[in-house]
Amino acid sequence: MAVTIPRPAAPAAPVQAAPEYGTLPSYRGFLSWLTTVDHKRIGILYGCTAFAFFLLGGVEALMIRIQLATPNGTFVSPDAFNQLFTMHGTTMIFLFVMPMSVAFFNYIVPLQIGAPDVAFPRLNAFSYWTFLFGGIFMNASYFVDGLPDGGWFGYVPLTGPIYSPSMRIDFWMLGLQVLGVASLAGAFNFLVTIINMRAPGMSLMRMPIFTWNTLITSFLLIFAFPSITVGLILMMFDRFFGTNFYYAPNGGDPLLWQHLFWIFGHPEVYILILPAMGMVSEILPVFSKKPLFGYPFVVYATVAIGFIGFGVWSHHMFTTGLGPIANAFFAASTMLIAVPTGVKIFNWMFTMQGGAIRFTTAMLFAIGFVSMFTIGGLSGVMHAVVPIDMQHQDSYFVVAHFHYVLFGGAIFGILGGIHFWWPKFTGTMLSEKLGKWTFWLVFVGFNLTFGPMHFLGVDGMPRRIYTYSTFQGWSGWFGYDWLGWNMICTIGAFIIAIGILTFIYNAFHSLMGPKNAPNDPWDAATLEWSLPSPPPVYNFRVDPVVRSRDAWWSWKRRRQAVEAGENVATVTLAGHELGHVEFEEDHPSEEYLAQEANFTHGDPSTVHIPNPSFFPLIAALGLVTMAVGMIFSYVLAVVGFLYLIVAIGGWAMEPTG
Amino acid sequence: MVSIAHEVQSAHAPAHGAHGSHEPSVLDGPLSAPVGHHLPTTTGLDSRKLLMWLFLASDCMFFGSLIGTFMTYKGRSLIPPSPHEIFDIPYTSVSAFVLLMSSLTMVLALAAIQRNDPIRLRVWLITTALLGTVFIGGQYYEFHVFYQEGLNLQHSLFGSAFFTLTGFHGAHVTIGIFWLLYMTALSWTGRLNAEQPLFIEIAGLYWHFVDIVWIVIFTVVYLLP
Amino acid sequence: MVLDPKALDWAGRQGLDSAALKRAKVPIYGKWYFPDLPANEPLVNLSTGQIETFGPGYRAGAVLYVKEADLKQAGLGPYKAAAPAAPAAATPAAPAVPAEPVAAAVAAAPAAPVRPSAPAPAPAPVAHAPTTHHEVASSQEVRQETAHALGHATPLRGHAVEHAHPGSKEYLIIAAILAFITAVEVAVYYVPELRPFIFPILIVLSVIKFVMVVGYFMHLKFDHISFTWYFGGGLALALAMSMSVVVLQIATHGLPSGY
Repeated sequence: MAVTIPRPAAPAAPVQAAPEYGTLPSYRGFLSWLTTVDHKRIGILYGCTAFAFFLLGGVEALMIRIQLATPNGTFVSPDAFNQLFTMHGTTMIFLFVMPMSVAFFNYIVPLQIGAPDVAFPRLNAFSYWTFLFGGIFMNASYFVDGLPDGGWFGYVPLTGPIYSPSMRIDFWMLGLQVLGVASLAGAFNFLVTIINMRAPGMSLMRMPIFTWNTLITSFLLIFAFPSITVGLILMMFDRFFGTNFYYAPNGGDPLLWQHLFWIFGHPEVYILILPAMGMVSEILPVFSKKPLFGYPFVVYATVAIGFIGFGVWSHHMFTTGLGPIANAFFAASTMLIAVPTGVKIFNWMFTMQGGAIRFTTAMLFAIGFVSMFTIGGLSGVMHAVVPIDMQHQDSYFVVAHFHYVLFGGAIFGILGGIHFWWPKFTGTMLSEKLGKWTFWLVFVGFNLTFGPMHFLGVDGMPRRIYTYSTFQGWSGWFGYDWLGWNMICTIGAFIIAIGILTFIYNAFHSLMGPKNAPNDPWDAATLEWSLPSPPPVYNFRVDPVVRSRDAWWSWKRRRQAVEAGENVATVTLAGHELGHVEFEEDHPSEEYLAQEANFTHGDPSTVHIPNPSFFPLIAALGLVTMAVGMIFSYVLAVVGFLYLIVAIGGWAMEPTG
Repeated sequence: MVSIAHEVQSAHAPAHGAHGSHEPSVLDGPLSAPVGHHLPTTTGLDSRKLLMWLFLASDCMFFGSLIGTFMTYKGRSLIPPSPHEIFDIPYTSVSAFVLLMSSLTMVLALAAIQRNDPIRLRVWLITTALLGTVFIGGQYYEFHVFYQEGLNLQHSLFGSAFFTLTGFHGAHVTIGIFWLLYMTALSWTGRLNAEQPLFIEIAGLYWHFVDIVWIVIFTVVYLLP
Repeated sequence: MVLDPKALDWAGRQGLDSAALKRAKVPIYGKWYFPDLPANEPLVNLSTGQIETFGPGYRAGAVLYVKEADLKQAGLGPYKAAAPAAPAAATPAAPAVPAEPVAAAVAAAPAAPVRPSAPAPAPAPVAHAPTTHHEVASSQEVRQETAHALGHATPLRGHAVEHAHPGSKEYLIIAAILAFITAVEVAVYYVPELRPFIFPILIVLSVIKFVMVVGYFMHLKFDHISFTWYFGGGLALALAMSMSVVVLQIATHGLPSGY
């Protein structure tokens, strides 16, 4: 029988205008950005800062490639080359991929779970400012003594006091500590937010998959970072106070650094990839018009990856002489971790299979992720075989592997996420045409850059060499000394650069255009798309009540089903059943569907918005001052510490409004 | 059996009243309650307490790495003294006892505020801080003695590992002492009364954690051969 | 799990919680689960235990209902055939629960599913409004009793249902045990006959101390199980990591042979 939903009556009282930033009792303009505690603004700050560091790291990469394009390169000195590859790695990992992921966590997760903000908004702001100052601090080394040059993994004793007497490594070491504080604070925040601030009805198995990935990434962060913190502390004590932790003549063991670093380092690479996997898991269903295939298995696989990821770290140390038993154990666990990863790949493929695929830019990047990450994963599993790893170690084969998973994986995912959520963040739409140019340029450039590195690695080219001779056999094609795979890699790198420039142009062009993006341009599945683009400062006027997975899709489809007079017990999307209902008797009522009225008639002035605050910024400054003081003057470190204490005190006493 | 009539006009939720004066509830969303009221959460657990437990889980990894470093290097110093030549076990066991008792006084402080007894609360808080200070003082004296006997940070692997591990533990205790004094001051000035039991509980969690780390350090560093 | 424990007064006294209901596959009608109330069926109000029936089109808010028929079928609450099988920890909780702050009942009273100042669309009648005043009265009484019993100026809200705390006396006993164990540890250190067994003895003793402080002083034994998982997970990971590093060190460099 046909059921009509009575259209909601006009509201009896006029709805109050939503409070905009300018009317809040505090700051306007530039100051409002310095004191913001709004997760959306902090997300934008993180995103812009991370992107700026991406460009910096990209320039460093281009300089590396120019130096290596031809044999006997003289573009940069060996010392400069060491600084370049160290900072390229450190910047891309700690200053781009991680903060960019956090930008998405910040903006998207509270919206996806129906929360008005994160659990601790000022801590959130503190994370950002600490990241910004930490990144600036580390790069400021350039003006002091040169950039850090010990590799992004800083192996001792090279980075110890004897072989790196300059201040470069001090900046690296303390910078990483500061960045670690930022990451930890953020991770704690997201954990509490996701555990404790979900909308009514959103059980864990009804959460969007991106939120799941955020949850697991945050657990990885809080358990992995303390290990590198300790490793860096021991290094700091060795460098500043003359201890013997890594000093072999007095009994210390350089391998201890490697253990502590990789106990962090391996979960770190999952920290880098899981957010991008989450983004891809959101994008693929939307543009296949099908719910994610095997949602519970994707969740379990992600949990398994997080868990097993703590048990594989010594696969970075196969060549250090741990012995056959240790090697065998870690080889086995490394191969094991490929299983849940494979499960996810299959789930993504089956999501697409049979779907009505729309090849938007975001979708192209997502499909690119699945294929390129698989290639990178295959070379990774090859490393798991210890005898082969003995050949791969420190060669360009490893460089090829991790760039396939990090660039073809994390960065493709991030670029896809940017194109997907751009309307939500900015209220404008990116040009699809320019987007496709971006994708193809980046895709072709990426494969040209890193594909040949597999061959170079197998041909014996080691990592971190600043140049090579013509006698190596890596160049000299058709009789030209300068022509070889390295030249192809360099050309590919510049093609990537052009692709990124295309994206930047696209972004600026859109931002200067009309802000007319609809709430839900893609017909997407999760709650953030039920809000205007960009969302109002308070997010939801009324707590959304969630009854299934893909909450927004279910909601839309049930409404359509009711209007069409269909059975609403099970709603479908292009023939595929939606959502996850727990009991068979779950019959949504017409009144539930009339909840739409809530979105337009709820009174936003009842929502509490946290007050802006200066203290996170001041505390972050105090922390970085301590880091500067540790290098230059302990008095300054004490001053920084006091500054930090005062800021924390003020923070604790300030009313939350 | 009560049957409820159908029609209810828009005069619903009278007890909620105007938004300025209503009793905060689940319905108003997570951040709607003014300060002093516990906000409804998905799990019913307070977010700040949850934060502290997660922090302690992370701190377990921190101390785990430090203790792991110590154990890795235990017995591998190339030069004397060895730990058992230099340790004064009776002395250290007294300071371990002092820290254990400080845990007791901490939990008594919590019990006091849960009984709404701010005077006892302050008494026990100050006692806890005092016991913590005694512990730190004892550590300081012990380190002084070791230093006199030739053991310092740079001297040997044992010296490096020992002083770093116990030094970081001592730093945690010191932060705890200042936190307890701050709580005492807050209680004195009467701020945030409604939230006090929770804040004392959270401070207590941190303090007990510091104590259990010492239980592990005492066993692993001092007692195990 | 997603249930607001503040609303569980009557249910708590019956030893019912969301876990028990979920195990029995009993749907819970309330804002956090299924907001739409089944029509023309006796429903049990989980806050007060009253049986209520609604016409079609009602939506529950913060007060929770289950179908009486479901409870009967599952044999839960007052329909239990055998003695209550509530876990031991819940038994001391039973008297504590009604003393638990019931401000939720006040909040539950006007259980409007939309924000209070939002005019509701006409076809969404709000459950509960007619029962508002007598619920408020009863909950206010309970609230006064609560405040009186606990001596709190304002009842605490938002707590998970916590069971009876150990009192001061229990804490003193635990502290005495801890001191005793410490003394035993030191004694073992000095007894030469026990030297070969010193490792397991000391480890067992310190584990006992550790568990007692964490369980009782940090209240983990009585708190929500999720805290145990988070802390336990971190602890287990830390143990595994440090042990692995030590083992790997022995594997590469042999047993310690220095000072």
